[in-house]
Amino acid sequence: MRAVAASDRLDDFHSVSINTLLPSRCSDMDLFIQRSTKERPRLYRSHDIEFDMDDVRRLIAKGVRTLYIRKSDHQEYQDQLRRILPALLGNEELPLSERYSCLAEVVRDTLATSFKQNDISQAVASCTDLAKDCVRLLQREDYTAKELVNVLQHDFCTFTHSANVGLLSVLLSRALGISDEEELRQITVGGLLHDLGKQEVPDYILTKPSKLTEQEFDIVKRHAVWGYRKLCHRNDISRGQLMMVYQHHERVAGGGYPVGCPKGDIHYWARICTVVDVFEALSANRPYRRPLQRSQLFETMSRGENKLFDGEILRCWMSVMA
Amino acid sequence: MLDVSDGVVRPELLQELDCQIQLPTKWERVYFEEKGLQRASFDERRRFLRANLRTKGLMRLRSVLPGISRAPRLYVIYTYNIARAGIAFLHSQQLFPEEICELWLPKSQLPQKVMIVEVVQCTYVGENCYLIGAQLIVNDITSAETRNPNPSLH
Ligand SMILES: [Fe+2]
Ligand SMILES: [Fe+2]
Repeated sequence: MRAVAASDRLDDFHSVSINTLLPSRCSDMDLFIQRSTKERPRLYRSHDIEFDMDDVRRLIAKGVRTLYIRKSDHQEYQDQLRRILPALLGNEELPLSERYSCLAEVVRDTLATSFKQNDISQAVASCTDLAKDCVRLLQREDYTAKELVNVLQHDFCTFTHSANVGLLSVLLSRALGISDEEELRQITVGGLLHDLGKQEVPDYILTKPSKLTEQEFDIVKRHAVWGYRKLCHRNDISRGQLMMVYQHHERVAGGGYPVGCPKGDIHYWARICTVVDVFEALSANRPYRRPLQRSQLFETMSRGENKLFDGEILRCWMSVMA
Repeated sequence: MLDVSDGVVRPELLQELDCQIQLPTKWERVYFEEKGLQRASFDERRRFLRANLRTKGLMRLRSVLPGISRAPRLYVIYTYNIARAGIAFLHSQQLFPEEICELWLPKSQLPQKVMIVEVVQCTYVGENCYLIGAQLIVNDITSAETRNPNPSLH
C-alpha cells in the first residue's frame, strides 16, 4: 500500500459501487471519493480504518454511490468480491435491492475484465460461474422484476448492457414458464455473452455520440457473426446460447441480420434475448438522448410486435414490467 | 446405400432424391438459364470475378460444431455461382458459419469431383430457400480423402 501521490489522476483509479464495499471486504485497500467531476479522487478512508454499513448508508444519503480504488488494487478487489459474493447474496440482513445491485456490479465488472483481456475461455468460465449466483437470486419470489430493473445501472456501456441483458433474460424466461435451473443458467450465460462480438467493433464507433454512417453501421452489424465465431467451436456452449449470440438481431417477420430469416428459424432463446436487448438499450442513457419513460418505451416496442419481436414474448415482458 | 461412384454424382441420384428448395417466383423460370460472369457490385470490384453456375448438386454436412449436430444425410442443392476461392449455392435450410459441407456436382460441370467447403455466410432468400456462401477448403477427391478417411455416402 502506498501513500496518495499528488500525481494520482482519474486514470489511476477504478470506480466501484459502494454496495460492493460492504464490511471488511476491502480491508487492504484505500478508498477514494470524487467530490466533483473536475477533481481527482481524494482519499476517503485509509485501508486501516474499517468501512461499515453505517458508512454505506451515510454515503447513499448524500447521493454518493461510487467510490474509487487504485487500479493496482483492482484485481485483488475482484478476487475478494468473487469469493464473498455467495455469502453476500445469501445475507438476509441486506436489503434485496442492495444484493441485486451488488450482483449486477460484479457481473458488469467481471465482463469488463474478461472482455478486455480478450480471453474467451475466461469470459465463458466467469459467466457460467456467475450465472449460478444470478439464477439463485433471481429465482426468489419476494421481489418484482420492476424492483430489479430499478436497481440496475443503465449507462451506455457494453458491459453494463451485457450484464443487464443476462439478468433480464432470466426474469423473462421465468415469466415465460422456464423453470429448469440449468436452462435458466444457460440463458443467463447466453445473455451475458450476446454482444461478445462488439469486442471487435472499434471504440470510436461504439461510443460515437451521433448517428452512425452506413459503413459504420455495417461494421456494428457484424458483431453477431463475430461473437458467434468466437464461441461456435466450444463444447461448453449449447446451440441455444450460440443462437442468442448469432440471432439476437433477427426479426420475427424476417429482414433482420445477419441472415434475415423468419421466426420459425430463430431460436426461442434468441427471441427472448431480442426483447430484453432492445428494452435494455432503450432504457439506457445515451450521450445524445435521455432514456425513454417506461410508457414511451413500451409504446415504441409495441410497434415492433410480430415484426421485430415475437408477440407472445413481448406481451409477457410488458405484463411483467407493468 | 446411395452411391456416388468415384466421388462423382450419378445424374440419376439427383433425380431420385427429393429436393426441398423452393425457388422464389422471380427465379422460378430463369434460375437455371443464367450463364456467364456475374456483374460485381461497386464494393466488390476488387474481389475475384464470379461466374454463374446453375446446376443441381448433392451436399452433405459434417458435424463439426459441438452445438450444432447434423445427420449425415444427402441434400439436393442448387449451385449459384463460383469464384476462384469459393462457391455459393441454394439450400432449403439455414446453415451456420464455419460449418463444413461436402459438395458433389455433376461430372460435366467441373473438373473437381468433390468439394469440401466451409460456410462463410447464409442469407434468407425466401421460404425454404437460403443462399449459402462458402469458401473452398479442398477441391478434389484425393486431398479430400486425406482429410476425411471415409468420404463414401451411406
Ligand atoms: Fe447486439
Ligand atoms: Fe445487445
